[in-house]
Amino acid sequence: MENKEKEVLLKVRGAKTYFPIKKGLLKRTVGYVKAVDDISLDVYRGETLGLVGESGCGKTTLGKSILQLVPITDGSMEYKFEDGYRNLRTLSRKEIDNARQKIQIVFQDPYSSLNPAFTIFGSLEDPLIKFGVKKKEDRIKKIGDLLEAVNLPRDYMTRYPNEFSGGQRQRIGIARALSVNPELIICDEAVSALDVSIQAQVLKLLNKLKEEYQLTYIFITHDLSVVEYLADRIAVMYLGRVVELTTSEELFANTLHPYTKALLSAIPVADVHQTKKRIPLQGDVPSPANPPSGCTFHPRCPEVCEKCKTERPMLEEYIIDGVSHFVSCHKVKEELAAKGILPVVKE
Amino acid sequence: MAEKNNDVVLSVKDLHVYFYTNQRCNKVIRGVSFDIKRGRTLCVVGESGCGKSVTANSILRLLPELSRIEEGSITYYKEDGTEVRLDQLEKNGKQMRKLRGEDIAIIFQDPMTALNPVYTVGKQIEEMLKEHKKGMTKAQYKDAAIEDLADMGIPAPDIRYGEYPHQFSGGMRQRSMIAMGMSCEPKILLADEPTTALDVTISAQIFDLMNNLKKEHNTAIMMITHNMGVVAEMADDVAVMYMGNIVEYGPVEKIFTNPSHPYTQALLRSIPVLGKGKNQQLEPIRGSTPDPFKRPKGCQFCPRCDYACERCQNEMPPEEWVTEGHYVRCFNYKEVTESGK
Repeated sequence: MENKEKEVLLKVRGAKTYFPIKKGLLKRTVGYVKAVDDISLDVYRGETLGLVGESGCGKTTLGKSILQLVPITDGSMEYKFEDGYRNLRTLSRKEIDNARQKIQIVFQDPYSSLNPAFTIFGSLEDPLIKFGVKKKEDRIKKIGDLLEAVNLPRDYMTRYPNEFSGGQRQRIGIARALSVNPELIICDEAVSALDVSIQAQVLKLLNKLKEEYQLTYIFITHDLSVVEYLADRIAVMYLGRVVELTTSEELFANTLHPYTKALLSAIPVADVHQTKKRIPLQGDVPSPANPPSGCTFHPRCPEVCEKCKTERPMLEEYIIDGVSHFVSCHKVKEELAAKGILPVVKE
Repeated sequence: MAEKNNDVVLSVKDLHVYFYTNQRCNKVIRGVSFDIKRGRTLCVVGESGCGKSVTANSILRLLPELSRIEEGSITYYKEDGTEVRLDQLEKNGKQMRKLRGEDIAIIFQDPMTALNPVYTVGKQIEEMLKEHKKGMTKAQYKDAAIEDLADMGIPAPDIRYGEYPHQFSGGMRQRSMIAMGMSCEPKILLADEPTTALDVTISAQIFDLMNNLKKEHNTAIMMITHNMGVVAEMADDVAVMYMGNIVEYGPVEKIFTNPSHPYTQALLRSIPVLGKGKNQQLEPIRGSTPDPFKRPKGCQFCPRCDYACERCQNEMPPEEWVTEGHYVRCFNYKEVTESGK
């Protein structure tokens, strides 16, 4: 397994992020929205991990949970610092601030993520002051370099956000994330708000920066064709859980989970010669406040069986032709067992 | 444009729409011509701000106050053979109001803002029927509305009839919008980015629904989108728009296999295609769309175009017919078509 040799940068184990639903005069908690429900995954150094799923599946919440921007209910997130793994959840406020130098985020909406009252220099200056670039000349130089790295002219730093187009703003957002020399960048729907012709520019830029700065990306998106282009590994999420996780090539060549199959078949492909059979899904995504019993996908699943309705399938790792493939489905487990492929047992 | 034949239900010719704001004039639509044909889907594709929605809204005369159709014609061919010049009708006059919904219906992008939150969904569908199909009893209206909801595949339509839009999910809201649009069996359905706000599995359901409608009722559909994937999936004909012009118009196979306009070509090369993996080469279009108040003098795409020549800078290329039913606005289209092969 080549993954074994890779260095694990972030270990997420059993992460749960629940949002309480409060009702009534006394604001009693009447239930929880299980936005992230028991997710375990590894992020390797230097890879791009794609997180895909439909709206409300918890992909953004997972991204924010990693940065500790929303409080996590349970589980651990261990990040590899210079002195070894430390759980991000147990860090003090000050330590989290420092951890955020390693982990940065690029937000979805380039219009609301830049302060309109600040020049670009003003917006990009703050993280630099925080992380020790005390001299103004140094900051000017550094910000100029950053703007050049994202293919913008140096002198744009004196301008205000309203003078830029969406694509330019998103590049400024990327420059801001880069300004503190992070190791891990979480891109939360970073290209979704952009027009197609601009999207390609930003995608290419992200790939270029990854090489130059040796970055690791967690790329959150709902667009599978974008993630296929960028990602090394893809995690497919449904209702707060990862249902399938494997390398990009494997996911498209050997799709196992019925949800992923349906998702892939539903995507319109810009190719008139490609004909495919669509797997229709009935109904809508259920509410994460009141998820179905057993496998959360069972009410919409075309291959549902009795077991799915009562018992929740676990995300288990299989080695298929030498490639690690995580999937959580009873049916797939049976089928693989029939072929003699059993889940990998870890202690 | 081609000669009028029986299949054409709506014909737009050389349409110019200008917006007047802050004492400036934005020439949003600058000479757009196309036909909408019975039982076919025309997809209008383009980036934000290229004028796709304005085109649809000018057909229904839903343009904002400070805008005007300056030139050109929009002709609607009724089933009995009469022609109606939509651009000459009074904006909110009796005739126009009668056509809206009954002959031409529209589905908007965001179903939450398009539905009225204080009325039940059933009531809003009924409203449409009451306006256009007079003389039915109360119970008949209700039954018709419930039937419309059922046709759209909404589960338990009789209960849903009495519910409010906020109780519906996004996909169901869009379905009830379509139910409302289809309730009077219009001849033309305009869909303005009907699935942009929805998830892929839900939009696949909506597309199936629209295709069924097209088959069953022989409805002409004009769909606006920015997603080339949707175009490949849904369209019979495609109109590619850029900065207020249709730069290329033709059957979908032609546009995808052998695009004749540099913009269409560049657009297709700049999107990642599912199933082609990591090694596909993306070629972004350089620069960005120009400011509508500082437009290039000649061809609008000229500053970003690889084939640009002197003539392009000063002159807007006319619509040139490549083959029947396929036109392109480019001086160098022959060269472009060759290189794209």
